[in-house]
Amino acid sequence: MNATDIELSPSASENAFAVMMAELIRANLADHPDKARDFSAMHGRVALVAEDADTSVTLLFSGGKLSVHAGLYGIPDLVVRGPSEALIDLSRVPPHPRFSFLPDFRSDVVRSLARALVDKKLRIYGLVSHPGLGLRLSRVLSIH
Amino acid sequence: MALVFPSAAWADAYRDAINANGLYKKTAAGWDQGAIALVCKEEPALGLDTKHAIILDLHQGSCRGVQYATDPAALTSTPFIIEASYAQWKAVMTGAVDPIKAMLQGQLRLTKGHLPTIIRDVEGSKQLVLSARVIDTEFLA
Repeated sequence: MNATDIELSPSASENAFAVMMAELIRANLADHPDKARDFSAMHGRVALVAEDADTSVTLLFSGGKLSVHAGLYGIPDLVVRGPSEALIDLSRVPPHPRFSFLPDFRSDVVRSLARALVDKKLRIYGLVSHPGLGLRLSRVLSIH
Repeated sequence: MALVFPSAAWADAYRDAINANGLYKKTAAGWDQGAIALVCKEEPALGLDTKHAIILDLHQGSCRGVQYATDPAALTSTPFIIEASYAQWKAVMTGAVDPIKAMLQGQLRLTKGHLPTIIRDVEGSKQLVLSARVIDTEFLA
């Protein structure tokens, strides 16, 4: 995995959310080389919508490459909509201490996200039809 | 008496406000990554001809010291820099804008430093910025 495998589309270079997502995933892959396996296996479009900040990005994964687009780009397979804080929390999800391919459901961050899901402040669409993409996304976004 | 932002006196009051913020102490207890500088961009119309920086020496939930600087050289050894315009700092400090939302909107920008480290301690970073709200501040505009 190298830095050129993650690129910002021309439209995204002025979008702070897009720049942040590209930088975050790039740093996560550099800090945790084991995430490269998940990254390489990801295919599909993920839209992240920060409703309170009125901004969104689309992450287009294609087998070891990622292009980050500002706004909604194409028809996403997964859509995550919610407040900025919840979207940032998605990248703070720690792995389960025994089953590292799963999130640690007892952590404060996961509890907070679960509350946001129950309250419908955070909504994830497409997870049932694309569970693998969703699980891998959580690992690639996670800073842990 | 209201303190002008930015100024050395305001920076000192900010250090005290951070140390008085119990939530900052709790949420940043694990922070051992060094100083964070809050930088206000040049704003000639307001008399700010250069960048103004408030460099906070942070360690495990407390602010050990503060430096108010207008010389960019002061920032060379600062590992984390968060930059914004005067109006954007004012919006965050007065509570008009949430700091995390401001980051996603590009109003506050991490211009130097490891993003995952800031995200790991995002609650502490948020409390750091929120600490400024208790200061009686006189804004230039």
